[in-house]
Amino acid sequence: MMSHLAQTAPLAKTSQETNIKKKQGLKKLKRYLPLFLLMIPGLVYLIINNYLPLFGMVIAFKDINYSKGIFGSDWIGLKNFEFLFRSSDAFIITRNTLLYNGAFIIINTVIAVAIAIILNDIKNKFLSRFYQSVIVLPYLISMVVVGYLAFSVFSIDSGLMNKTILPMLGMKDISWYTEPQYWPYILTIVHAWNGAGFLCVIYLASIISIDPEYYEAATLDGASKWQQVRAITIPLITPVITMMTLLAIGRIFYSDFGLFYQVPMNSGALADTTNVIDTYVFRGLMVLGDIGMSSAAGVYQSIVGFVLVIVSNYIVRKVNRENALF
Amino acid sequence: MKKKFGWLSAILALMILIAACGTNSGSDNTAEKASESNESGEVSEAPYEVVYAFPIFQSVPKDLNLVQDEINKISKAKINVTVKLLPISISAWTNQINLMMTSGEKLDMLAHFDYSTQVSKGKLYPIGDIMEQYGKGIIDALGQDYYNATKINGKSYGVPSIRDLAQDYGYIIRKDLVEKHNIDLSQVKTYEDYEKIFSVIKAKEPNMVGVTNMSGNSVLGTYSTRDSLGDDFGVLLNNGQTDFEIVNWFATDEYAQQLKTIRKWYQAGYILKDAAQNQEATQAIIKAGKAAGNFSHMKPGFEAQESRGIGMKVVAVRTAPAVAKTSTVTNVMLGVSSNAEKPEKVLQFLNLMYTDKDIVNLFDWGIEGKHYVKMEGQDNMIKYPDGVDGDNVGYFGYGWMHGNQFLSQVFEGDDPEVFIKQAEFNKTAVKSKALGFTFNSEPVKTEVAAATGVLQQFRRGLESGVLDVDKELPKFIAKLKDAGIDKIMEEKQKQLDEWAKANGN
Repeated sequence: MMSHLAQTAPLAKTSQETNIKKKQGLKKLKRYLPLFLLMIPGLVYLIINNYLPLFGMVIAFKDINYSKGIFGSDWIGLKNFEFLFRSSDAFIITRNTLLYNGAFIIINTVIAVAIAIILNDIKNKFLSRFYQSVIVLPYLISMVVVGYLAFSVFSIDSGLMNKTILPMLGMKDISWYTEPQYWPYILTIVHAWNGAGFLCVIYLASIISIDPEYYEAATLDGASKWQQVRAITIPLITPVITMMTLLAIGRIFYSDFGLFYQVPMNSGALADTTNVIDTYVFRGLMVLGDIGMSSAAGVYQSIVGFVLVIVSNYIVRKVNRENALF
Repeated sequence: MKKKFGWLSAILALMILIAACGTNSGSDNTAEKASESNESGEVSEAPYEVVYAFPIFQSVPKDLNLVQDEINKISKAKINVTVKLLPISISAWTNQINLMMTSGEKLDMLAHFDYSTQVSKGKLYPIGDIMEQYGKGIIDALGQDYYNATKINGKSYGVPSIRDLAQDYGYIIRKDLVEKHNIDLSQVKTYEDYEKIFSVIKAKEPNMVGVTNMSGNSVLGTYSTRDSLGDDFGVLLNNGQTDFEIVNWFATDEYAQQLKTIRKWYQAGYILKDAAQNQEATQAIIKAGKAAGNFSHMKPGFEAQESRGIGMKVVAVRTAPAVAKTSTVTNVMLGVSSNAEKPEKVLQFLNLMYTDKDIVNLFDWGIEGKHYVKMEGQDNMIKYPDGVDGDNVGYFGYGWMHGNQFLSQVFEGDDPEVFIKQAEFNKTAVKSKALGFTFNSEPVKTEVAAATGVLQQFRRGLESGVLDVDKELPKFIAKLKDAGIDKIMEEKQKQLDEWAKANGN
């Protein structure tokens, strides 16, 4: 539909007489009416679910009073945003959020692509399906459960680490939940274990759709497996990788709340390395229940995400127009 | 390309317009309807329906509607009001209420646990204005002192349910352990003395610790010798008995001393090693034999309540006196929503919940003969009917939430005089000088949010003995300062001084 529209558009533009234009427009409308109709449910959903709530952004700039209602409440400018930058923690949480998510994007992409390539080469149908399911499984486990799985490994009294692994290596017990320096590694591993499988399925789908003739030709020319991966697979799935990465960048200011709250068991002593924007907001506002300040945090996150997506998309477009999202 | 986008945006704009019109006219309609029914209601005297929302911690009891019908029979006859019970799961409670308030859904009455926030957000109707007229029974049942404790700037926005309005503090321990090891509980007079119990447990029961944390809280979290003035940012020492000078509790020697004691206990092995992560329910931990007991705030009849919950007999040691503070009074409140159409009708119904024995018993225990039966030969005592037990009974209610619990019957196993004792307890409890002062944190909410975050970060670890006090406490205090605790305390002192002046102190 897009390409058709794109082709007819210049035609309509060149014709000078308006009634011809009108007729054509009418004709076009008639022709594509079923498609427009098909669009309606999706559009309605989009508007109700994604666009109407945008009005809620005004809450971030108001001092909400329920007896006055949302629109009657007083405007207070940027006061709701203040607490995000209030303490010296503001730097730590921003740094943590950006570094973690940056690392997650890179590490998960590398792992997911690697696994996808390996899976693609498993010729046994049953085994291939089996591995796929196993790899996706962690993605479906609730973070609360993941938190307890981690707890069974790191518990001070009875965890696998302190009871079995460390004694085997002849090392002393570690009080995992009070020592922040280990957590960047733990969280990254947990996140990769949790999220890479899902990403892997997406890459696998795009690898499968690559025409096998490329590989046949390469094999005839004597290319090794590694050369094939480098010269065929990676370049052909680059658009998908770029797209997934751009989408991830858009959410770089959001952090997986479950990962940063449940997995460290909400242990305050770990805050230096586990406190991110979402957990900071949650801890500060859980007691207060102030929707103005919570919305402010949300607005702040989405604006930064929006800007980052636009900027990175712009850069991608400069490098390679084909790969850009829009 | 351009043209296509023009099309799309045109459709979009149209849709938004339609949607906006839709919502607008919708709300207009309901407003009209409301005013209509208002008028017609006065003419034909149709009963007014009170929608009563309250949080619920289990699943909704299946006979809720039957109980509601029974309540309505009484209330309709007496004041021409019916009630619609609206239990909301505690996990969705705040969101749900916020949503109902913003969307203008019908909501007349609600129970709540954060009085000052509700008031500052304008969620509650100032019932103090019409209290004398429609809610006299509530004031009489509460007593003037406790009623006054609900006033914010001279106006009452809600009333506490009648239950234990003061709290004393102490420690409960399994009775069988006390008897087995001959522990002399009477030698425990102060907080430091608890060590005498813990060391015996440690020596005699190698797989058990002396004290566990309260669920989701620290070990010390429920022990108090101060008036927290709502949020612990600036407190009155000595339970608010001495003067009106606000101090930073976390920087006091008393707090440091308590932390050092608990750190000592932690290192001696009297506390669970993962006390700062532990999410398990206190009662489950004690039942499982992992701990001998826990610190808690208490009330008369507390031992019986806990024994039932744990499934083993427990005894209590009390080391901090019973004190009534604004926080112990306002932590469970009933109020009229600012959306309520006819607040006076709602208040009349609330009045019944404080004065009508039959309604209170319906709320608390359900229908006689179906959900409970009277025990023979004993006046006020009830039990489950034959074939019914706690697991399959069709109704349960929270006596401590729905109005005047002292009008309620007493369940088998409790002290028959438990409510008489609680009433006495409320009367004789020491009253903090600041009883009745409610801090409005709105002017410093930025600082409160930041400081709350710091609290979450340090408090549980420190108050469970997991963190090194000498190293972490100074950090904690510095971060609180950084978050603006001084500004909060300044504002609080200002409000407290004004309050004290207005109340003739």
